[in-house]
Amino acid sequence: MSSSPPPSSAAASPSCPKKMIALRSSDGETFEIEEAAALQSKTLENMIDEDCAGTPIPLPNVTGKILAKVVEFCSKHAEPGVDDESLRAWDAEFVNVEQATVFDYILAANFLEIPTLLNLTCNVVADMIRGKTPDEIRKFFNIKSIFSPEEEEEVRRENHWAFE
Amino acid sequence: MMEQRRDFDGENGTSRRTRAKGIAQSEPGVDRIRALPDSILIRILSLLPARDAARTLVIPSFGRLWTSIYDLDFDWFVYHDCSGNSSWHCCSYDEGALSRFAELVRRVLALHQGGRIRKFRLRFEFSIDRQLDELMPLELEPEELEIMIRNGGLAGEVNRWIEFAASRNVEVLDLDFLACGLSNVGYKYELPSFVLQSSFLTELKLVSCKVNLSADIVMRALKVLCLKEIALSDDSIKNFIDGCPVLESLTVLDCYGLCELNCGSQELRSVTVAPGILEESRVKVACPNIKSLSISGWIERLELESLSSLRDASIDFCDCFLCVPDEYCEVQKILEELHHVRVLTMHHHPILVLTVWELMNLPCPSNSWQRLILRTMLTKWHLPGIANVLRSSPSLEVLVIHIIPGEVPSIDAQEAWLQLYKICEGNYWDLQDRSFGCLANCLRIVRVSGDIMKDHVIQLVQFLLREALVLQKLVVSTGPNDSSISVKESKEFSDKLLSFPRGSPQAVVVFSNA
Repeated sequence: MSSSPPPSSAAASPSCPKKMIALRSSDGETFEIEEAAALQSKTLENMIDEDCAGTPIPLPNVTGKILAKVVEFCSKHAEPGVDDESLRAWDAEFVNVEQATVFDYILAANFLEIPTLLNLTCNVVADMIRGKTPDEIRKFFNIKSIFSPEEEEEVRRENHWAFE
Repeated sequence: MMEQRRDFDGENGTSRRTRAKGIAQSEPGVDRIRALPDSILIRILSLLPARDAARTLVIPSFGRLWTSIYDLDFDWFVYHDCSGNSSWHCCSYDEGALSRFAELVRRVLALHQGGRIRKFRLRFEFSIDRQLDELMPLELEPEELEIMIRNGGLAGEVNRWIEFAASRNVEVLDLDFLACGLSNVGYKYELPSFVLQSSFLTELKLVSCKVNLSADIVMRALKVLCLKEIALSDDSIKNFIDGCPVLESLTVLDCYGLCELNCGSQELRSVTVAPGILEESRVKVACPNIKSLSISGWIERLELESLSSLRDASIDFCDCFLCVPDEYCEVQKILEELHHVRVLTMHHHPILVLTVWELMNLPCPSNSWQRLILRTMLTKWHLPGIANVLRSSPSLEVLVIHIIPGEVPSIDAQEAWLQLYKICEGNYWDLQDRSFGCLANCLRIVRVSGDIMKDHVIQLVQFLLREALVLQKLVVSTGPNDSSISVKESKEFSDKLLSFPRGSPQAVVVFSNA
């Protein structure tokens, strides 16, 4: 069981400076996150309010590998004094990862209700789709077609306006 | 493995330079799209242009989710490709593109199922040439002609499209009827009055349409208003301001007929104004509570008053640079009005004015700017201007220079001025003998980015490192535009950078090849 402390920063939450929240991933790893960073997640915000402080909050939907990165993201976004341009560059690096990981981030951001991370990652997937033909999209995401070639031709013909 | 991307993006289209295009495909056999909940897929599809979202209907993992997207983006540049044309060449009427575009909008709206639309965007050239051609033989009176155009054909359809969005309580409406067309030509689409009476709109952008100035304007929720190429009168701007009590940001570009922009509202925080070329009279801007002002276009016509709360400002000109020094007393007045702001952004035309002043031994007005952002080319014609502003800004703590590509200042045939002034070759900074107050006392942070692989950049950075005695950090980066810089070039540049002597012992130098 490894414990990875978040990067130390001067972020102080209104209630209790540097109060640490413990999180437990689906595979049993424990992580600590500063309260200010944890408040980026609406899910965690609700749980903290309900006074689950003390025992690690179980997050059965998020693996340790992903949770570590989510903690890193939230901590960075809670840091004071980071200018917009630097943060954007940091975000771009953060999502410069394998496709599978981006999807894991999306699911984690959705479960934990972290709007900034959700927006960022959904934009990445949208960028993967934009400008591609359906064939290219299928290939890129490994999606099997359920239509036979004739059926697909029919669907395209019916909706020709989308393919002009 | 790089995928082919077909982005017919227009002048404003940003082909997102995402790293994602380099990402390897996911392992064979795993369809991750299907693992995402519908709400997420709808969110992702809502980020796409309408046509791309609609195309997912042939992909089973998406099914018919595209019909529930809440942002509808209809941009005719997916059908009309004029990226190859220079800015001079105006596009001839592209009937094919228009008809495909209109068909797309009709079908998408017909099939749309979501109950709510958050954002609705239309961008296409509303050209009524063809309608005119058809109506000409009828020999109508001008008023009759105008009525026919306003109600018939395309205009009628566009009305219905906008009605559709309004009926779904649209919050952000972005209507651009100019696209790549010639401005100020003939008949324009007339915006139905109900748009300006919406209680749901929070953002409204209108480009090149006719606005019924006699109708009431009441948009209680509107925070952002942008008007471009709209014929106005003083009253109409006042009506907009009065009718939008929570307005925070106002942009007025090339709107003929604007004489005064008065707003005492505490809510209005930022104003962007660019007087148009047809403007005959002065344009007075008096908004005592705004924090942010951005001016461009024919700024010589601007009269700035009561800007006591202003904290940041941005200046740019239009393209026609005439090197007659007397004309720039207007610019001097504007810089004096802005002397108290904390953050000033200057684009490259104003810097050329400073160059002319420098070469004539006229200083830039003294100021208390703390943060200076320059968005400019860096040619030998810009260096005297930069020296001038550095010398005149004793409070400067942060200098940000974003370098846009370009070797010669003017695009238009104004090169005559380049010959009038003798600008030395070689390292300009080595020849500077006067002192620079801010460098000795104040300047802490310097960021340089953009097209940095040039001698001028190296020389400027060398100079700053030597003279800035309290410098804490210098960051040089190539982002955000991709440049094809080899690893070797990058290393050479970085080594040189790190080898320069530093006037400030605690200066940290960072080179980033993003």
